[in-house]
Parts: sequence; C-alpha cells; structure tokens
Amino acid sequence: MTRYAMIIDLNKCLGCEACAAACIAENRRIQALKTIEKAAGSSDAYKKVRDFWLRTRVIPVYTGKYPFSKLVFMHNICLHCDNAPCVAACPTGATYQRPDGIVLVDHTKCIGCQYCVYACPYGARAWDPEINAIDKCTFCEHLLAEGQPPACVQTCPAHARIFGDLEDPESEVARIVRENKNVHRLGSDWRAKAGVFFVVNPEFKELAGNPKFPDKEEELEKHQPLYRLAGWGVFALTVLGLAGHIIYWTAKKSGEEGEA
Amino acid sequence: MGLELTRRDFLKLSAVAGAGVLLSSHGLRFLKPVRAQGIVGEEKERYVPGICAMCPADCNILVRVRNGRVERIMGPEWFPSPKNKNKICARGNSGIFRLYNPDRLKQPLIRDDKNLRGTWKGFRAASWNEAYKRIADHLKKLVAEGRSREIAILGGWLSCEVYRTYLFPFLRAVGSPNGLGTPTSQCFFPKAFGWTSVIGLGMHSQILTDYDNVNYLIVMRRNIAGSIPVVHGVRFGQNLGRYKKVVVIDPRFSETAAKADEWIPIKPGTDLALLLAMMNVIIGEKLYDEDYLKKYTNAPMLLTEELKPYKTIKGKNGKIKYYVWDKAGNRAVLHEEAAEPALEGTYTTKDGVKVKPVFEFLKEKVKDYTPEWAENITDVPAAKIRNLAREFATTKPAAIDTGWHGARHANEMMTWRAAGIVNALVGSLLKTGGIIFTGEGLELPKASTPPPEYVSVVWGEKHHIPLAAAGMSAQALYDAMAKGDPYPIKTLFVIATNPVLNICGRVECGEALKKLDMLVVIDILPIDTAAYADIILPEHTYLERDDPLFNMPYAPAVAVETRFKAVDPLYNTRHVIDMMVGILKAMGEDYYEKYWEYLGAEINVDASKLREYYERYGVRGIMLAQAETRKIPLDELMKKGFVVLEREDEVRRKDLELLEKGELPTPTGKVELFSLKLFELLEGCPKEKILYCLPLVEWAPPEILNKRRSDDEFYVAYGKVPTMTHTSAADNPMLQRLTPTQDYRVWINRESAEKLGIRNGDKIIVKSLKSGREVEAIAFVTEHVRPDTVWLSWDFGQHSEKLRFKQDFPTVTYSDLLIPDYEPLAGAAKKAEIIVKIRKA
Ligand code: SF4
Ligand code: SF4
Repeated sequence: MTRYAMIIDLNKCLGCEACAAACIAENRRIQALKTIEKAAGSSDAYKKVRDFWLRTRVIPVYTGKYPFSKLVFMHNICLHCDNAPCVAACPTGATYQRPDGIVLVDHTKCIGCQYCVYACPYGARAWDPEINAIDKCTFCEHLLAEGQPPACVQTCPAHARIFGDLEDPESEVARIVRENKNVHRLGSDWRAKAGVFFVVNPEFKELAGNPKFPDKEEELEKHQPLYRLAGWGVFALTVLGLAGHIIYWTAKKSGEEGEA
Repeated sequence: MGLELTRRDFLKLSAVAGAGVLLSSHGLRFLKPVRAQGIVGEEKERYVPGICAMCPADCNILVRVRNGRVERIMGPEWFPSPKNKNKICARGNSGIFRLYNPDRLKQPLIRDDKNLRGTWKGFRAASWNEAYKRIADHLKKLVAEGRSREIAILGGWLSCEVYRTYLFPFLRAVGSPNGLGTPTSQCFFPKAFGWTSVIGLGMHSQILTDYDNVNYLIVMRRNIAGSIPVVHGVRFGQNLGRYKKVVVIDPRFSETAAKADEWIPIKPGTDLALLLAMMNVIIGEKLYDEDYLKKYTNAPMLLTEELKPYKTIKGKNGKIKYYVWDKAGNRAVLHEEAAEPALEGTYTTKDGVKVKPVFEFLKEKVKDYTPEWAENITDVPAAKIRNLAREFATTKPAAIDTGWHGARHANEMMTWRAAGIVNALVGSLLKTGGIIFTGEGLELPKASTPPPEYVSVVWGEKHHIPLAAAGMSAQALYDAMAKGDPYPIKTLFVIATNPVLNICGRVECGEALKKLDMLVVIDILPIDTAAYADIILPEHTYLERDDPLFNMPYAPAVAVETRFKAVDPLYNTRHVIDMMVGILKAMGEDYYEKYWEYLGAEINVDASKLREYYERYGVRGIMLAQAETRKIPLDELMKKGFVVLEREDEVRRKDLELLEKGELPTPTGKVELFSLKLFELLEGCPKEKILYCLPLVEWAPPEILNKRRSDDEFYVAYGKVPTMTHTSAADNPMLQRLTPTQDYRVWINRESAEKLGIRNGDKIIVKSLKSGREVEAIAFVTEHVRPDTVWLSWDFGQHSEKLRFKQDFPTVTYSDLLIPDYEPLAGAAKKAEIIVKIRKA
C-alpha cells in the first residue's frame, strides 16, 4: 500500500512563499487570472486580489521578546487526514479519501453545501465558483500520476517541503517520521491522523498543536493570543456542523438507498 | 527550427538523464503512479527553457506552455542548473502574472506636450516607425551639432548584467560615452570594491560563499532568506541543520535571523567596528592561520614607516612583486624567494630603511580596537564579540558571507574590506568552505578604461571621487541632468529601471528628468518614471523574448545560457535590442552597420554574420551566431537553456590554483591585507574623506553615528521582502496576495512605540531629517527590531496611477527619505545614512 505524506520542516523553511506561489500557478491559475481581470476593472483591485483564496499559505509567526525574538513560518494546507472531519461531513460523498491517503473532492457530486468547509479544522477548503465545487489541496495528484512531485515540493529552495510514501520504510518521509524527534502532527488531539507532518523545534511545539491558524496575517495579528481559543471555537462550530450533516446525510441517504 | 520540446520529450529525457536527479532531490523513487500517464492535448504542450527575470538572480527555468499559454514556470527539474539547481522562488513562480498582467504597456506611446511630464496625461498611441523616427531625428541632430555626449542610457539590473553588451554599441554608434546602470552605484559597488580590494573580485555574480561546506557562517548587512536569490537561498537553505553555527548581525530580526543560532542586533552602520574588534581578538590571541597568511596573502609585505610599500617590481605575469623579511637569511627578499617570511617585527634593510611587514602594521592598528571599544560603538557586549571572534577562528571552515547589496553607509567599502580581511585571517578566502570565485569570476574580466568624456569620469575628477567611473556613479548623471555638472545631459534612455524610486530623492529626480530635451522610457509596466517620458517603448516580458548567449553568473561553474521565448508576444512590444537596432536603422545605414561592427568587436563574433543572422532570425540569430562561433552544442542549449563548460569541481580546482600560484586578480596576485589598489587611489582621495579609503583598515564611522537625539528619532535599516524585487514587483497581483502584511509596514520596537503612543497598525508620519519630507506609513509594532531603529522595505511606495494592483494603503517611498547625496569613494549611494522622526498620524 501507498500512503502519501508531506513533511514541512519549519526549521528549514525560509518563509519565501515559493510553495504558495507554485500552488497558485499549478492549481489555481485560471481562478487567479479571472480574479485579476475582474479586479482590474474595479476601483479596489488590491483588495480584490488580497481576497484571493489559497490552497496553502505561509504564515510568519512572530514571538519572543527583544532581543530574544523569534520567528517561525507556520504553514496552512490540507493535512489529508485519515478519519477526516470533512469526509465525514460531506453529505454526498463528494469528498472522499483515496486508498493512498489523498483527500479529494469529486466536483460532479459536490452540491456546495460547504459543510466540509466548516468541518475542516484547518481552513483548508473553500467554495470555488469557478469550478462550481469545493477547492482544496490535492497533493497535485495530476502531477504525481506522471511521476512528478507536487508543485510546492518541486519548487521549495530549502527542501523544507518533502513528499513521499509513508509506507515505504526507505522513503525520506518515512525516515524523517521515524528518526526526527521534532516531528509533529498538527492537531493530533483531533485524532485525525494527518498526512502532513511538521518538523518544529520544541520552542514552537505549541504552534504545531494549534488546531487552526487564521487565514490572514491581519487576523493573526489581532488574534494571536486568542488563536488557541479560536481553534476551540471552530471545534464547537464543527461539532454543531457535524450534527447538522448527520441529520442531512441520514435523510439523504435514506432517500438514495443503494448508492455506495 | 525545432527549438521546442514537448512534455513527452521531457519525460523521456527525465527517464534517462533525470532519474538520478529525481531520486536525489525528492526521494520519489518509490512513488507509484496512481493514474495512467497521459494528459490531453499532449502535443500542444511543451517545456521551454529560459531564464527568470523577476529579479537579478537569473535562475534557469522551464516554462510549461499549453496551447500557446504559459501554465507554469518551474525550476529546471530534469537538468538542474549549477546556479539555482532545480528551484525557483515565489517571484519566479509568479512570472505568469507579469506576462498576463492587464496593466502592461501594450504599444509605443508618444507625448508631444512636455509640460505634462510627471503626469499620465497627453500620451497617444504611436507606431514603432513613428517612435523610431522621432528618436532618430533627434539623435541625428545632436550628432550633427557635436552634442553626442548629452546622450545617456540609464539601465536597470537587466541592462547591467546582460544587455549592456548590446547597449554600448548603440551608444558608440551615436558617439555617446554615457552608459550607466542604477545597480552599480545605487546597489553594490562599494561592497564589491571592498571585496575587490582584498581578493580582486567582489561583485555578487563573481564571488560565492561556499554554503555547502562552511561550518561557521556569519551573515552581516544581508538577508539571504528574505531576499532569496535562489542561487544562494537554495544552498543556504538546504544546508540548514548541518552548520555548526549561523550568526546573523542585523539591526532587525530578518528571515535569515529566524534561521540563525544567534542574532546580534547591532547598531546600524557599525559592523566595521565589530569586525575590527574581531581582528583585535584573532590577532591578539594568535588565533589566525599563520601558514595561510604567509603563503597566500601579502601580510609579510614590507612597508616603510610612512605606510608605503618598501620596494616593488613588476613581474612577468603583470603582477607586482614585493619584498618580505626572510627570517632564514635575515634580509629583505622577494616574497617567492623567502624561506621564512616574517609576519611580525621591525627591521632595517641593507639600504638603511626601517620596515615592517603589513601584518605588524595591522596588529598595531587593531590593538586599540578592543571588544570594549567596539561595544561602545556597536552596542554589542564585548564578551559577545570576543566569543564570536574565538568561535569564528576556531570552528573551521568559517566565513563571513559575501553580501549582495552594499550601498548603505559612508563606510560601506571599508566594512566589506574588513570582512574580507577577517576571512583572510582564518584562511577562508578561495578555500573550500570559505569564499570562492564563481565561473563568471574565473573569467577575470579585463578592466576596460572608460571613455575620457564619460560623465562619471569628468565628474569624478572634478569632485575628487576616485572611483566614480568604475562605480558608474548615478550621482554624476543626476548632477549632469539637474545642474549641467560637469556638463549637461539632455537626452536619456531609461531602460528597465525606475530612477524616480531608485535613486536620490523622488522629487529631485523628477525635477531633473523634467529638464531633459528627451526622455525615452523602455519598460514593461507603467512605472512611476514613465510618467516623465516623452516616448514610452514597451518591451517584451522575459517569457516572450529570445535572447543572445550570456555567460552564466553566480554559479560555481563556467557555463553559457540563453532565453527562448515561451509564447509569442501578447502585445505590440519589442525586444530592447530590436529597439536599439531599429532606432539606428532609422538614423541611416551607416549607423546600423556600425552597430554590428561594434557589437561584433565586443562579443568576438564576425559582424557580417551577426547582421545576417539577426536579419534572418531576429535576436535569436545573435544567439545562433554566438553559439556557432563559440562552438556551443545547440541541441543541448535548446534542451536545457544552458550548457556547462566547466563543472563545479573544475572551478574549485582553478580557484585553489589561483591562490597557490599567486594569480588572484589583485595587483600582487595575493590576498591583499594591504591594498595596492587603494594605495594607488589614495592620492585622489580628499583629506577629509581619507578614513574611508585607507589601504589597510581603519575605523570609519557612519555619518549617523550617535546622531539620534530623542525618543521619536530613529536610525533606518531597510531591506527586501521575499515576494518583491526592489520596486518592480508590486504590480504583480499574486505577489501582492502573498506578501505578509507586516512586510509593507514600518517596523518599530514595541517599547519605543509605546513611548510614542503608537500601536500596531496605526498610521504614522515618517519624517526624514535628511530630505525634510514627511511620508505616511503604517506601523508594525514588534519585538523584532532594535529600539533605536526602524526597519522598512524599499520595495513599495509606488505612486503611478496606472499600476492598479499597488497596495491601497500608505507605504514609504524610500527615495522620498533621501536627497541626492553620495559616499566619498565612488560617488555611490549611502542610503541608510538617514535619521527619521516618527509620530502618530
Ligand atoms: S518554498 Fe520552502 S522555504 Fe519557501 S516558504 Fe515554502 S516551504 Fe518555506
Ligand atoms: S531568485 Fe526568484 S525571481 Fe530571482 S531569478 Fe530566481 S526565481 Fe527568478
């Protein structure tokens, strides 16, 4: 079996954002070009492009007290969890996990209810009017199919994003997970076994355990002391959301008996 | 011509040549494809090799094109380049959004009313022919009137790095001596010269910190991670975790500091004091590499008491030979003849001259530069400096990073010279794990003498700026435009640079531009400077153009490279070479023919072949003629975009050989602890500035030292952010999307901000005590900058209303804080010699 996984080594990450930029070009290029076109015709072009949604983000987190200042570049990306809350939340089966661990959305089945968006603790999903479905990280499965690495991994100058098969003991990801003491799973308290791991020094471990990062730096600034709390807020929302899905899903399921 | 490759070709190639690469770079050997290979429209898809132009680091790239549209730009995955390996940065990845940016200049524009300069009013679309004719008529008139020297070109980094070779023949054809580049004096020259004074080379394209092998790395006045030229970033980044220690010396906690083991928040402009104190410790505690100094440096060179070389002779290889004290024979002999050259002591030669080795002078010089002395100046505890020096000298190999930009303070040259000397003391220069020469460096370019009427030469002589010509002082150009000093420059071509935002004061620079008879701006975007133009000529982006053959800069390899256009030009744009040639053609056949003649001489290619190939294939023809002449395998060039002629091991071997043989490009061929070049220049250096140009080392204070008088005044540290390149990328919508909020803001220490009642996100007024101007900005209140210093990026501050994606809140235009002003040695910029006053808006 194959279990695709990504390691993001925060000790190496330079915060250059090449990964996020490569992802736009590879996966959200059409959307970006449309956004740009629309923005150009408006009076608030900058705001419009700032609102553009990204599948993966790099978030500088400033901590410490001068002169013992610290800075770590936290990453936001779909973790391709086992037992993923989004998969559980999806009423139509549009969101599913492949046997190799990649969590995908079947666009034809997606009805746009966005339950998964609320269910995801990591802000890794968004409704995308361009594809008329939910957009999210796919680990660049279309590139993997050709033997190419995901775009972000391909471009990372620091070799901070590392990709491979966790089940293969000789792979670099398996080796790092096995040997590096500083490997953490984001939100491990979620019991959602993630396919993305973070290498992070003990001093920043707090961050790795933090269930959700705000989408924008602006928010981060406002909420920095609060984000742990915010994470639990999202959790509560999710629980509510989940309850909703279950009701919806059960109803739907009973109406469409026989569908896998 | 089959100059393009399909995805299938590439996958085939990667299967053979690239397998090992994939394996080593990603460990993807074990990936099992989950979907059958094959992508619809495969025939219509191709990978075109090229060179990124989003910043001056020139990364090699592959451009994936489908149905005539660029889909993705990536690093050269299957044939890693000796420069950026297979990686590119956020800007490189976002090149698509430069190509498809709706703000681009789409056709030539002419404005007839000079009174409208400085605004966007009055431009009308014009044909290329009309634009060429107008320029040609104007130039011909100047030539006829004998006013050719009033013409100048001001190029940006693209011109500076590669196109200069193709611009100089144009200038020569119209009889102008004036080719200038903004990068040189505004960006790197003082730093480069500091290094040159020690090892003979110093441009960032010529020297490289050996990140792959260094164990103890000091990074000073530089932000490798945040400026992320991939050639350095990839080596620095991939070695993180392997280094014994990385120390970052910077008034602000940079992205590089985030990766370091230790951050030393030094007082701006005082790095030189810290370096001198390091010398004090390393020499005082005898931690230096004695063998290295005796063998490879001119540390044993005998100087008289007046600090003049005792005796020199010219060697056969053109190098200056000098005398040392041979302890074995107890007499002065040529360095190469000495069995035991003395580093220390005072001697009297047979002819009765009292002499001492350079090292003895150095030792005496730095004796008073104790860590305690330096603590007072730098605000770095003496114990820390002492420790740093000891660790640096005993953890081998150790290096102080080469830097990149270096035009901050009046003491810029001396600072980098001192960095070079500290490296020399521990034996790092030209050695594995230290500072090495790149492939470009090894080509050891011959110093060409600038034309005698070159504006920087005449200006430099008049104002006693000894290196103004070599430094291409932009100050000379400014003075010539604004004041006719040393003579008027009245016709200016601005090529891919933005002087209004990049040099001197924004207002002063604009006023100077208004005085011109003709301003031609060649660019891809409606930048601030273009608003002052009479004629705007739109250029292809780097994804739409072919290019000549270039020598590969930065890399530890000798290689050639080129660009292939990935897609046809979207708009009515042209290549800058087409423009130069087009203007000359409109001037007449003589001029046109001269261009090829001069270009041929410049690049050693037969002129008639150049002309013929150009007429047949356009700019690609120039490349073909060069490749043919230099016997570069074209198929390989077409496949990869570059051809390696000498690999890294060969370059490293040659570096060592230069050191061993004493053939470095310094006057003596040795690492020079006493710079003969500076010694030569000493005469031209005015007395009051002498501190900044002495041939040994000397404490030369920054002008702002201790000039901060109150809590609302601050020193200024500035820098780049990872998503931007100077002021050129702020109209890239996706790079704007990716830029972290605080990168737009003025960083101010939390405690200092509290004293002024400034909170994070507040609007503030920044007043430059130098220019007197006040600008609005937003505060980032942080623990990540010194309490007496503010940090800001100079990537922003665009005003052009035509740049629709620029930020919609106030950012600092760095040139607003400056006035036309220069450092003493080269007439270069000293952009951090300012103090600002800050208050809440
Ligand atoms: S590309 Fe690599 S170094 Fe750059 S931000 Fe992404 S993970 Fe970090
Ligand atoms: S460092 Fe980035 S912007 Fe500069 S050349 Fe390389 S990829 Fe392009």
